[in-house]
Amino acid sequence: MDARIDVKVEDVFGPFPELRTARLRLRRVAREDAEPLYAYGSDPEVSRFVGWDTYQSIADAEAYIEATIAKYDNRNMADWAIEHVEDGVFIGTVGFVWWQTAVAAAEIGYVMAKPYWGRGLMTEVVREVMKFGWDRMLLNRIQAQVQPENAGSQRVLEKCGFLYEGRQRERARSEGRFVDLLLYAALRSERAMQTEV
Amino acid sequence: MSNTGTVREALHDLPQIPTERLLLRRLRLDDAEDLFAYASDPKVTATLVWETHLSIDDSVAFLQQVIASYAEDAGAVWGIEDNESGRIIGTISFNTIRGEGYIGDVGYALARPYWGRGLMTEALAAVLDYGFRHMGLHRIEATCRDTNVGSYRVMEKCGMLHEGTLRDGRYVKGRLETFRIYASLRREFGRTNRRQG
Repeated sequence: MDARIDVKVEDVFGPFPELRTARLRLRRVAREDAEPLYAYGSDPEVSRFVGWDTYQSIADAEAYIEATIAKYDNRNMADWAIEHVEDGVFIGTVGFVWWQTAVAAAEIGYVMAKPYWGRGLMTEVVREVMKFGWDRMLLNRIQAQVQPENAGSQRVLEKCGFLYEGRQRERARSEGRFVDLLLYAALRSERAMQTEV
Repeated sequence: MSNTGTVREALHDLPQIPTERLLLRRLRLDDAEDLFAYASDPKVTATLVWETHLSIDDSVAFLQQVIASYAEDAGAVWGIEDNESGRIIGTISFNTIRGEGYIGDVGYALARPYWGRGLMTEALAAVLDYGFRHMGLHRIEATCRDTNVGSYRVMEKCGMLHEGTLRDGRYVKGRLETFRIYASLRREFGRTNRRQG
């Protein structure tokens, strides 16, 4: 790609865009989500691979929700709540950790409650958010960083057409220790192979 | 737990680092001519992310920015002075410090007449040593364009390992280009440093 595209964050994220997949609704995070958010945020098996520390109290969940709502209000980029349509429950979040408009690149991050793992739900979410990234954010590159022991997340990325780019040794701090991060990325030019099921 | 205090102390007034043939020192406004001599050379800047300097004003503006950063103990840009000529022949710097002050990323540029003599290897080895021993860094990374063989040879000679690639990761002269990721960890540094190549 050789031309800079001028995209404004507030034009893409204000008002906050809701998305829909076959089984899920991606919507604003709301104050009523505090309890289910705390339920999985305090589950060490869920939080061991994410960039934030395991929640110690419901106040940690509330703080995240308030910060996210403030982003909606300011037309900033913010996370989506993942709602399971049939069950009518909040089961996780997805969003972009950063977006560098200058290089048309962003990093995706996501988390989901354990009872919903293993059903291809996160793959469904990531595909929809990638589509949003290509079509609305006009991204050229979407990257993800995942810990080596997080096999489930790597499978999601591979199913969505991300390619493995390398292993960055001890690149992040997680719960007081250094952890390796695997780097994955999907490019706009590879869209054809990303839609394969 | 955070290392940012140690980093700050080590960068206070940016100490100079002597090597066999070079002196890494703070830049001054009167370095503008030496800087402009290579920063205006398209062969030097072709694979670098910053734009070629078009007039000495660009060099003065860069120097003013760097000098201001020293005063805030936030600057880690060393000028590379050649002992023989007493001229500034390049720069080497820590661009960002992340991960609670434990992870730094280093970048450099060198005037073309000085290529191919192992001078940048000498400078990088000294800066890695400074980063690990005085700044308390745990990991130091560097990226360069995948076609910039001269640059990644320098990293390899200093014992940095090739960890992966960043496809379309950075803008270089109006185009998105693929970069290589290299890194060195503190515990490896003593072992692999100054390998002859």
